[in-house]
Amino acid sequence: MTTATENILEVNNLKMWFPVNSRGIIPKHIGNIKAVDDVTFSVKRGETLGVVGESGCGKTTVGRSIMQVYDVTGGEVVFEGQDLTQLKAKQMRSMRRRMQMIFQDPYSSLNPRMTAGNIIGEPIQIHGLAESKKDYADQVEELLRVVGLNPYMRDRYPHEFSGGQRQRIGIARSLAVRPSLIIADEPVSALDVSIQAQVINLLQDLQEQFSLTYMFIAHDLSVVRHISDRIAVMYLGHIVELADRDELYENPMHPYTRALLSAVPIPDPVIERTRERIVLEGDLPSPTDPPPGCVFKTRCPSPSDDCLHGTDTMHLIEPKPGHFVDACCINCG
Amino acid sequence: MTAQTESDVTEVLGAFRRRNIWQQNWLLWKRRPLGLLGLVLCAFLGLAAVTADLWSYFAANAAGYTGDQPYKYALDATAQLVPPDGQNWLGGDRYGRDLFTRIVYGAQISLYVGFAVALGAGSIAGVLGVMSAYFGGKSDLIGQRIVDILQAFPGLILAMAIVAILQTFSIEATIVAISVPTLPRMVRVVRSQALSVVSTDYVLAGKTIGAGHWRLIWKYIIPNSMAPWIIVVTGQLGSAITTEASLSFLGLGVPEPHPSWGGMLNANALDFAELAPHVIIYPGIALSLAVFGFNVFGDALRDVLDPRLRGR
Repeated sequence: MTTATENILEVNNLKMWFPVNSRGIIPKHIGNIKAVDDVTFSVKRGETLGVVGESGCGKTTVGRSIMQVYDVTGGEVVFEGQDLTQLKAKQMRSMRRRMQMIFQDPYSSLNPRMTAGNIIGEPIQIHGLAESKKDYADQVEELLRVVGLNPYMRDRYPHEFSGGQRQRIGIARSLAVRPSLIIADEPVSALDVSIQAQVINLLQDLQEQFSLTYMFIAHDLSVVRHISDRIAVMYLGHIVELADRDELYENPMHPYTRALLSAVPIPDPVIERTRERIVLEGDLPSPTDPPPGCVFKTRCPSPSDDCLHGTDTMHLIEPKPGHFVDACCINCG
Repeated sequence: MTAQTESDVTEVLGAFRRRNIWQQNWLLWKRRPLGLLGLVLCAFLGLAAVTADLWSYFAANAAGYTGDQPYKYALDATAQLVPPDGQNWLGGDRYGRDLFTRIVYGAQISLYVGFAVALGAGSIAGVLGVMSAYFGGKSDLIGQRIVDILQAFPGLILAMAIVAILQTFSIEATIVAISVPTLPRMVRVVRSQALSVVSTDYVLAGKTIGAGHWRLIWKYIIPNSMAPWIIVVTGQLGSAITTEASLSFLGLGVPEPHPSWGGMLNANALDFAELAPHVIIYPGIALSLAVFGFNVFGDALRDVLDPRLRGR
């Protein structure tokens, strides 16, 4: 791996608000869904950053905002020294060579009217990476082989593959342009457990082979622990804790992280019975109307007075080197 | 399909591959007997339209016609309302024109109007629907309100209004009049399908690999929105033929003396129906078979063209 200090990606104060419009003949803007609100983090070259959080916490939106498939509301996304939010559409298209995405659902992320070979080869065509027809065919064949598929499968349509095979096609497509960063948006959560392990191992092998950097979005904590070097925990559009994998699992500082970790089942019935569960009360507040100040206060097990009545903005502090946690919550639970 | 005799190896290989595709298609069609029946009916109709002159020649000979007018227009006072016989195979109409010849030529008009409406209005609607869904925003909003307005009129009334506006009676005017009322429904069908395609992960994936608007539209949205488009377009073939017949029946469509099936069923013909039922029975059968054929053919075509439905 290259030097661990270089940041391949820096996300600063990223905001992605989706407008909410009233229904009717002439729609009116009535509010925002704050899917991602003021998120700052960085990804080092060669590492795997895991992003966890419950459904609707904005982890997928963070990934897609980095890919610039949305027009971000605010903040900057600095990838290999360039702020992607400032790029024009044409410049951004050539930047897509450097970063790719793997999707959650292998059943809906492949164009059903294109053959596996065309799906994998399309990025090569778009970016003009093949010198000749032969070179193109060779590259597609090689990609199929790299992800563990047989080259003769190139003429098949997606519906002729199993879920795991489809996800391999998706991975091959993302590798076709030789990117340096891959954003994997829950790449295994739609697969069954035995296939999950295969795909995870494949991703790890590929990381080594092509010196890739991963941003790995997931909600399965054991998968994230297995694959990540560092882990960010998201809650309601904010990163509430960010630390090295072992540090986070052994010394979680945020009450939400503790609750998440306590929910991981232990495959030993004796220990499992004595496992302490932290159950959070209440539901996730609506992202259209998040609580003022600390967004976690409605579900915090032991909120401090300052937290309940304060309206301080959320921000991360670094109580230990490399371990970031939300400033408010460190005083609470 | 029959190029195997070529000595060139690649040529033989190519022919082999081509035959394979036909064989594959045949397998797909064999499982849809109703669709095949539709195909046969459509083919029969097409054949009738193409070879109409030939049939007319035989029919004219059978009747001993020697005049220099085209036989489909030729009046014969002695053949007025005669029942089917050896001279007039399907009888004569009220002016004594040969009904058989007119029905065969009617296939030409029906097919011409049907295809012109389906392909013309179909492609306009396809483009509008896909653009509306893909680009969205204000143009989509305004476009769809116009569609709402058009949809508020019953189709036949709107078609009649357009005939009134055009103030001409011709086959082309009829085509325009039939096309406009079919647009809203086709635009809606295409747009709704395209909308669901636009929001899929594979379109998002296309964006993330750097595909531009045209690539996304051509390779992602259009192929995946085709199935309902084909269904409405082939459905439109049948219903355009009926609408043409309705307009002609009301005397607002294809003008006399053109042999339109609807025109043959014209209200005037009904006056003679008791006396000479063949005057309305045979054009009616021709019309029904054509519409039925196009509809079942369209359904089967959709199944064959959509690879996801294959094997079911």
